[in-house]
This record gives sequence, structure tokens and C-alpha cells, in this order.
Amino acid sequence: MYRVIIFIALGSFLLATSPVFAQHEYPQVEVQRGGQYFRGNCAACHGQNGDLIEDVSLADPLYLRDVTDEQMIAIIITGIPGTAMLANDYNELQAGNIVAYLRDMSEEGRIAPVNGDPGRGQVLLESSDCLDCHRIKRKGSRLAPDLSVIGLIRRTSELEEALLDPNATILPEHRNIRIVTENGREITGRLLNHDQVTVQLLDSDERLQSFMKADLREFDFVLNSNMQSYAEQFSGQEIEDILSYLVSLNGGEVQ
Amino acid sequence: MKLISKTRHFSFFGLILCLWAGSLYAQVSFEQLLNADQNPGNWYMYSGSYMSQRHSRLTQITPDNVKDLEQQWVWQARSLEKFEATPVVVDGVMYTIQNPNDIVAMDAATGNIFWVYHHQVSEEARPCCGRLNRGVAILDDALFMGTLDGRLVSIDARTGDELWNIQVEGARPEAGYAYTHAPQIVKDKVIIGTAGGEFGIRGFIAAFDVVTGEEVWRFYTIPGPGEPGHETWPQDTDAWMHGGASVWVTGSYDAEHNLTYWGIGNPGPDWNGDTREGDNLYSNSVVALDADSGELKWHFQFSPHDEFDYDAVQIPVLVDMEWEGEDRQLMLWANRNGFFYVLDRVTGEFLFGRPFVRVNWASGLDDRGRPIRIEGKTPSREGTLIFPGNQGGTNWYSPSFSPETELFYIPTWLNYSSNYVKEPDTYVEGETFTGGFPRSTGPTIRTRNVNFGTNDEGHAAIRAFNPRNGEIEWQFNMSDFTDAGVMTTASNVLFSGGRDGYFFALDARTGEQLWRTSVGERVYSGAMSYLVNGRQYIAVAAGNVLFTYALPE
Repeated sequence: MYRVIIFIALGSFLLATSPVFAQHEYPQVEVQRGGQYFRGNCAACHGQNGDLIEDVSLADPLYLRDVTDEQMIAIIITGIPGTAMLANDYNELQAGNIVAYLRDMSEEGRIAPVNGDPGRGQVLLESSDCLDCHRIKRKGSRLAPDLSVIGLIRRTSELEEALLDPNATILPEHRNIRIVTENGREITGRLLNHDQVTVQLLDSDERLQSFMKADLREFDFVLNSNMQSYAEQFSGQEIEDILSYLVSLNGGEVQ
Repeated sequence: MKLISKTRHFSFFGLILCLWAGSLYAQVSFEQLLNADQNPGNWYMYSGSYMSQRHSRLTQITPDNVKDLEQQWVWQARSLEKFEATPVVVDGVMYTIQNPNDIVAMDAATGNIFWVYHHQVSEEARPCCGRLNRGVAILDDALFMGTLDGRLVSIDARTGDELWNIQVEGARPEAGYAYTHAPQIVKDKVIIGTAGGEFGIRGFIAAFDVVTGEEVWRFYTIPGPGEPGHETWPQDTDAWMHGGASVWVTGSYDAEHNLTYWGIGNPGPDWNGDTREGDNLYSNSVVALDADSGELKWHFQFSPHDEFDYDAVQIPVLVDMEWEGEDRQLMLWANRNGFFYVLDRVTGEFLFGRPFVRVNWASGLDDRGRPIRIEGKTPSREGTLIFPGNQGGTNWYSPSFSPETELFYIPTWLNYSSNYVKEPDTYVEGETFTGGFPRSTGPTIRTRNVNFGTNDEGHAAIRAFNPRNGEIEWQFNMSDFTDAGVMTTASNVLFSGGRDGYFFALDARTGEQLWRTSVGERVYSGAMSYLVNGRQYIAVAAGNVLFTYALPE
């Protein structure tokens, strides 16, 4: 496993032509200045991770993908009238620095080039049991997170960790749930939502269901991952191939 | 509906006038405000009455029949800003806020709108925490509202026409000053305090003549050079001029002692105390001011030299109760800092205090109620884990006290912590001045429409406290955090909501849930109650909708 990490660490120092991401490259000095502006001013409302205002996810690459630098600079400078987004007394250069910071924050660590073959990785992934739980471009199961654009939303290091040590980090939105109904039926699935009195889930038959908690004999969050570690099943190079394939799933084309 | 006559004897003409005017809207005298509890069909001010117990004396709705409540009418505000306002209802007319600064008058029985007063908020306004307003105050024929751009407005309660509209001196929106809470009326004055502590303001509370809008007195929440308390700020810098200490919710009033009480917000920069050594009075304190002069009579500081944003911006709940064998005039306070306090509201004497949630920044309170800080529990570059987290054990949303159960009901956040990170900051007018940031340790506070958190990761509960010893009588758990206030009634029904789209009623004696209805979004306000056409209504805002409920006719 450590060979893989060293590979990736070395790789990140190379001037590799990484796929797609070369469209947004900013000098570090711009990123740093932008960070000072952002943390000192914008973060009070937007949060340090740019995610405190609902539906405005400044560090989310999916969100930033749909807006240009020019549009963001305009919003920073003139604000959005009638909303809480104020005009700011920055010039275009300063606003551009903030944009650089946001783009960098959203892409940090994700661009680490991986020294593998995505084609081989795809074969490995499809011939293993991954699609028994995961789904890629409409193939596979809905029981585990969809990976169709995973290269756009997760860092390489996070993908590697998920393959080698899936229990290390499970995001709250990917939790599983286990319930037992009044007549003894056990149902497991993805937890979607819950409140004082109800729970919503996607069951193992991929059906959306809602239950009253009062009607359940048992209700348990499954905080461990259903996924096994693949450290033993694949060699270091195979892991890299799979990572290369996952990183290539960045929403570049529609099939 | 009664017409209150100002003269003691009727002339014949006066009699005719009274009979003809019998259906007209009545003037609301200060006398009526003082005796609000005796006229429970009306809800005269933000917290219901000057003691701010958010307790209705109406008893038509009971624990037995509350499950029969039916939705009556709804009103949808044309604003998606957090609907935090509590309406005022007098003689069948309801006044509430359409965010940010519209006042809407409607028929409280049907929701039909009489008129809307619109205030156009300046583009310079920069409220930190929502473009909203929590409600109006009423006296005689006039309504009063503070605005996001530092103005105070008085309008005619029958027609919505503007009577006066002033820019409060020094409350400049471009410097971060704003008004967000419902003003308080005392005699012939309207009293209001400034928000904006995250922008390096110097907070103040001011009183204005209700007829002319002229400022009558001002109390700065940060004392200036030469004033007592100024020594709790650095003497050789201007830290005191940008020390924050805002006012976010409406205070309370004790008529016997003519004291007006206000909770004061955090010092700035919020999370970095390096440039403001000292206790930083009167931040995170309750102040008792003479209502005629604004003179400070006493103060009690909950969190000296605060670094965790533990604003004391809770409603001061006044209670007359026996304390250790004597009749006493008390103030109950469940503070954002995680401690529950009982004070003597005449003198400010600290009587009792203990944590009501997990607290790890202080080991307890000394015998004067001052927290005993634990070394190392301070914001740092790497982040320091503190219980309770930044939003506190409770916050601005209203608690309730019931004289029937003698319990104090607090909407509480449990298992909640933050990682506090400190950063340097320099004051620049119009920019935030907060010195760092708190990092959430669980799923983020402002979640989207769904919740996947476990209770261990933080959740809210309504806790019923015995104020005599701080013991919990009962606890009603929710699965998410809450921003909803609590209201109780004299028939022992408790109403509240949460973040999961329900509005519900509990038995105030036991916490048993008696009724629950779907409101479809977060409840950001406290419920209130009024009587019209002989029927008791419950009103609460959730999402951008005002819902009303009553028993079937």
C-alpha cells in the first residue's frame, strides 16, 4: 500500500498533463491573497468552506463548473441586488484573486496525477464486484454512492482511502440504515432522511420507502461501511489503474 | 370589541360616538400593555407581556382537545428570509413582518390583508444573520419598527401611513449597524438596541419619544473613557470603539421598579480576544436600565472576555416566585454559554447557576456567578474543541415559563460542540471583524432539506427545568437542531416546532406529545395565541408561511 502512496506523492511533483483540470490554474500568490480576502470578509457569511449559505457551494466543483470566472468576479464586485449578497469594494484584480482561491479550494488535492491506466482500471472494476453496489453511467446498483462523476467531486486521496480502508471515512449522506418492522421484516438500505417520527430510505430492492418510527421494532444507523477493503485483492499497480479510471470519471462526456 | 373611553363620564354625544364606534379598532394604552395578562385575547408585544414568559392565559385549548386543532388560514410572505417574527394581535387585527421590513396588517380571523407598509432597505445594509425583522411594537394608534438600515419607523396602526421615519444617529448601515428585534414600549418612549456585533460596531440602546421620534436617552453597551466599566477594555487602543456588544432580541420591563432589561451580545472580534484584554463590559451581560433616563442600575455579566460568541441575547424571563422561603422577584436565564442562571431582578444579585448542557470551557461558576475558565480552552490556530459549540446550549429563540407548572422550558441543543479557530483581524469599516471561525464537528448546521445525523452528533430537545434547582423534569427529543421558540398556555399546553417540518403540542406537565401537524419547513419563530370571535387561535411561522390553528367551531 505504501508503494502506492509514494507513487502518488512523487507523481504530484511531476509536471504531468493531467486530464481536464488544466483549464483553471492560478499562481499561488493569487490564491493566497484571495484566501486572505475570503477568510477576512466573505467567510463571515459563506463560511470557511464556502458552504454555509444554502444552495451556494463555493468549494463544490460541481457548483463552480457552471459559472465562469468573469461571472464570479462580477458578483463579488456588484453583489446581487435584493439579496444578502452585498457589493464589495474590490477591484477586478482582487476579485479575481478570490475566484482563484475558490477554484483552488475546490480542486485542492484532486489533481494529483495517478500513474495508472484508466482502461485497465475500468476492466478491473467491472470484472470485480464493485458494480454490485456502485453505479457508473447507469450500469450497476444504486445501493452505494454513484460514481459516474466521482473524479470531479472527490480527491484522489479520498478515493484511494475508500478502496483501501473504507471504514476510515463515511460521509453522513452515505449512511446505511437497518430497520425491523412490526411484523419482523428486516429492511436495510441507504438512509436518505429522518425526523422526529419518520425515516426515509432506499431499500435493498432500490425502492424509496418511508416508515413511521413508532411502527418499527428496531431502528439502527449502520455506521460501518458495507464495503470491504480491496488492499489484498488488488496489487498496487491495479489499485492505481482503478484510481486512474475513477479520476477520469469527471463528467467530460455524455454516453 | 370594546372602545376604551378616555373620559370618566359620558356626554350624550360621547355615548352616541361610543355606540357607533363600537366596532372600531381601539387605542392601546400603556395601561393595557402593563396589564396584558388580564386581556389574554390580545397579544400586545413580542413575548406576550413585559415579563416575557411567552405564556398565554387562554384556556380554550386544553391537553384533551388539542388533538382536534384544525388549520384555519395561512399567509405566505413574499420573502424566503427566515420568518422569525412574532405577530402582535389587538382586537382582531394582526400585525406582522414580511421580511425584511414590510409591516402587514391583516384580519386575525381570516388572514385577509388590510394593508402593507413597505420600507425600502438601503443597499448599504449588511446584517450578518438574516435580512429579517422580529416584529413590531404598538402603543395608542401607532406601530413601531426598527429597520435593517438603522432607521426607526412609526406608522398609523389603522391605515399604515407613515407618522415618522428617522435615521438613528450613529446607526450607519455601511458600518454594520442594523435593527432586527421588535422594539419595546415604556410609557411614552420606544426603546430599541442595535445589531451588528460582527462588524465592529459600538452597540447602544436608545429611547425615542413615541410621538415625535426624538431621541430621549442613549445607553452605550460599551462604556466610553471615564465611564465605569471602560477599564475592562484596553486603555490605549480603540478596541472599545469596535467592541460589538449588540442587541438582538426584545428585552423585558418591570413596572414596579421601572427597570428595562436587555441581553447584550458578544464582544468583537468574536473569536480572537487578543486585542481586547479585559472582561469587556457590558458584552454578554444583562443590563438593567432606568426606563426614564437610561441610567444603568445594575448589570450581570455571564461570560467575561468571551471568545466563543456566547451572546447573552436571550429573552430575560421575569418570574415572581418563592426563593428559599421568601417571595422574590427573579430573572431566569438559560444562557448561550451553557449555564442556567437565577438572578434577583431588582438588584442583579446572583442566586443560583449550573450547567444545563455539557460545558467544557469552565469548571463551574464561583459564588458571584463568574465562570471559572479552564486553562487551554480558548480558540487556537489549530482549533480547540469546545462544548457547547458556537450556537450555544440555547440561543435567541424564546424560552417560556409557566406559572401553573412553575417550570422553565428551554429549547436546547445537546451533544453540540465546535472547533474554534483563531485568526488575526483588523478593523475595516463595513467588513466583518470576527477574528477566526468556529468549525462544526458534526454534519453542518445549515443542512439542506434532509437530515442524516445521529443524536450523538447533536440534536435539540425541549427541556423542562425546575428553576429552583436546575433539575430537568422532562425532556422532549428532536432529531435535528432547532430554532423554534416555546410557548405555554395556562391550560398546560406547550407549543413548539423544530427543523423537521412539524409543529406540535406537548403536555407542559409531562412532555408527552399530544398533537403534531405538518408545516413543511423549519419553524424559526415562537408561537403565540389570541382570541377572536370567541375562538382561541394559535399562530406560528414556518418556512415563509404563517399558519393559524383553532378548534373546530
